[in-house]
Amino acid sequence: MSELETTTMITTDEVVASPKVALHHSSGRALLVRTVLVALFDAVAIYLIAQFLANQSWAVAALTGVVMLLVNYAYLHPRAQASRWLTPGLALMIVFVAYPVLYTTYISFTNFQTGNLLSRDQAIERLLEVPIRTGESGELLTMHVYRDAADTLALLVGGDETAPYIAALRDGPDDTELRPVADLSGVAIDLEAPPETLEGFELVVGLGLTAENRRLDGAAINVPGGSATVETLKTARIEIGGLRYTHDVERDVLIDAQLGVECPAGEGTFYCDGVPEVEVQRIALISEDSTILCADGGCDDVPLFALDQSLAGWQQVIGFDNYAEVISNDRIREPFFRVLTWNVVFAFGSVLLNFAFGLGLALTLKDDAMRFRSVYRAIYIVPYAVPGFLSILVWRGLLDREFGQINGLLGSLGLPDVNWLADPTNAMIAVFLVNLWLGFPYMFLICSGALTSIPEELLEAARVDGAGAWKSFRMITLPLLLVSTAPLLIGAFSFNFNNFVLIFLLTNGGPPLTGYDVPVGSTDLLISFTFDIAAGAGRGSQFALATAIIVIIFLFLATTSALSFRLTKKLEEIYDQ
Amino acid sequence: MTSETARPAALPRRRRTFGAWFRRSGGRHLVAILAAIFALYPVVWIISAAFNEANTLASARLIPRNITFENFSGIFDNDVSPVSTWMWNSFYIGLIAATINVLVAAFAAHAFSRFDFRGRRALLTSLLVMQIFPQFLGFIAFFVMSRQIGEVVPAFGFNTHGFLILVYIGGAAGFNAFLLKGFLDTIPKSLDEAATIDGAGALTQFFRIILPLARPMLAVIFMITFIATFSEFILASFLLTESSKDTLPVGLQTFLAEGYNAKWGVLAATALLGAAPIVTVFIIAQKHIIGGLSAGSVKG
Repeated sequence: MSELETTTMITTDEVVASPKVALHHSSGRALLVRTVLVALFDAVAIYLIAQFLANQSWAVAALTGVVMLLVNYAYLHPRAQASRWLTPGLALMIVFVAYPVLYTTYISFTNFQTGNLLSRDQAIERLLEVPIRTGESGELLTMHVYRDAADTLALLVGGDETAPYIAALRDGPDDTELRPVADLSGVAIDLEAPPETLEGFELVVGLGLTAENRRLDGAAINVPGGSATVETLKTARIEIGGLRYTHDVERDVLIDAQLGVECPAGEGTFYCDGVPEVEVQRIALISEDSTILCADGGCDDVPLFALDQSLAGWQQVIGFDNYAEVISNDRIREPFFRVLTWNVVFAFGSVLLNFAFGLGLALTLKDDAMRFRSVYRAIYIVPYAVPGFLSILVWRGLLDREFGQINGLLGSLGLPDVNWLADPTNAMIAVFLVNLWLGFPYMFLICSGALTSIPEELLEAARVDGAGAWKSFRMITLPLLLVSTAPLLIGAFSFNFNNFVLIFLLTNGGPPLTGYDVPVGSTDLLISFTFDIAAGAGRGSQFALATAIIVIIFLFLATTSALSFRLTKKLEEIYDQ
Repeated sequence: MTSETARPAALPRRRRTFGAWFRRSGGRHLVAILAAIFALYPVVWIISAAFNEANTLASARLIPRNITFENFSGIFDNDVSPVSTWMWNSFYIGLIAATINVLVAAFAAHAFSRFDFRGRRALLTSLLVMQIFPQFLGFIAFFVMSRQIGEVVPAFGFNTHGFLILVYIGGAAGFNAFLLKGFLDTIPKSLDEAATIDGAGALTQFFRIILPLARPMLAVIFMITFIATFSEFILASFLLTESSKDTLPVGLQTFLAEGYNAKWGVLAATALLGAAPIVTVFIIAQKHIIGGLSAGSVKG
């Protein structure tokens, strides 16, 4: 980080010297106060960072760290005069303007959407808390005790509702690991006459059983979905409703006790193999982008959310997939380009229309001798001053088909009703009309200002040279006007390009178009289109897809602005203060 | 039709005949009046509907049969609508955000105007560059951020006014610093020098000399920021989920989504109440405000 210099802009040497002297003399107490305040700030910041780290909110933790460093530098470094003034604003800009842009871009490369809102660790943590949802607790099971050469005890349990199962004793109540010693599925076991040996384990009977009394007291084994606890030497009580999943960290496999299947980790979630087809949700099977493989009633590669929507996946970087989706999926690409086209037409058309109207009005009112000029001006400011959202809501009422006053006006002129907001073309006309009302005062004001700065002599000279009114307007007034208003027109274009409030409140993007994978309407702008995708108007919140479109908007805005900066050389003027 | 009538310094000649007057400027007045009707058309309907006893859209008429204030009391009656709650939310959020924002922006502007330091140009440029991206495009990032912060500091988490206020303060700081810097540059540096010689410290200089002199510009920037915050939609709608926490734009939008007809009177009264003070200030202070606005931020 560059070291800031503190040379003030005061020019004479004596004056530069004196504040430093004054500072050194007077700042002893001030420095102490400052140090104490910074120390307090640091304490809070460090506490926050620790908490954020504990929650795995890495980016927010880093952000807090950056702000902390900035504050420490600015208020403790003796020569950081300017940054003392800058730091509050700078910190806010970093956190609430720059970071969101970067983070939005990051999200566009992930699978962040409904179902993938958590980090990987958080998702697994949550999965391990999912309870088993089937089975019955409390059944008294028949129990037989087995023992192997290493003196390990195993219990064979089974009952009317519970299939026979044999497992080694667990270490304690916290031990959730299944320790089956033999695979009994498909083996017929008669619990009244248990086999003498099973996979190296021998049945313990008679005195031998009594001798194991102490080890068996309160002992238990884990069974799929629960545990069976020894009650007597011949019986055990089963408790089901334990936890559904266990995570084998080494293999990174999730073990599903409810379905008795294993689910290796994959992209964004775990994918279970050998799931009975009836367990898989139909919607997941018929979905176009489904990768589930089913054969003979069993399915492989079943993502967890295809079993249950509430089973969490995790957020993960997936590269350019979201951008590829926008380009390659017909049912997203088509509405995207449709919206983009209308967006450009709307922004460009609106600026043109409003500018023409405002300029016309400014020319009309140009004459200094005209009476009531200030009254007109005051009236034209009204649409500009009313908060936009209020006027848009009012306009929507006025444009109502049945009761609206616009149709009432048309009716009284003997014209037929117009279905303003439900017909695509009419809705577009309505959008232009309302935006003209909202925007012409601004254009009128800037054009009035610019017109007064055009030297009268030029127009006079043109008149002497025989130029008519139209010619002198086209050859002199308009070019000069465009030079001075160009940056503002570009600003108006950018503003209207993202004029969310107008569209959202007036038409809500509608009338809606159907048959696409994303919610979209005839008058949607990119930003309202994005908002609906993110707000989950369609199939849950597709945040990542939405951010990909936002990044495309970023790029568009950056290009427009780069061109406009070059056009107006605004930057140079700023530096030449 | 533009230039031949634009005669400089028209003599204070009283009008001769109506015919001559109409030929000279009647056409202009016709255009100006048509534009005025267009500008005032919805406003007239708002005013009439706000005082109309029959307060539905269907029964609206230009001159109400009976004048009533029922629609206004409806705003403050929570059985009719929580409009007053939303107004208060918008008002106090805007007030806090705009106040802190102006102060922070003034600090930064002071640094840019009165100090020369390495990275000054780069910082100014990046302030400008960041203005390219409207802050509301970050709404998804803010959603994630607010949830993460909320786990540690609930007062600034998702669905809190605290977080929204922070976002608003940060959002306008850069641009306002920019506008203010331009204004502070016009305050002569000799004033600072004189104060320095008189032994005034840096803080004293700022609060006693610079800020009072910048008061008109501060007021304008405060107004612009307040109105922008008061009207902001996307972030408020995405980051707040409870109706009782909504700001006025978001609350009104959901309130009206179920149908306009029966709520027309309340909407009109709200619009009148919300807009009247702002319109008044605008007309009184038009020169200052328009100067500030046309320097860059745009509406319409």
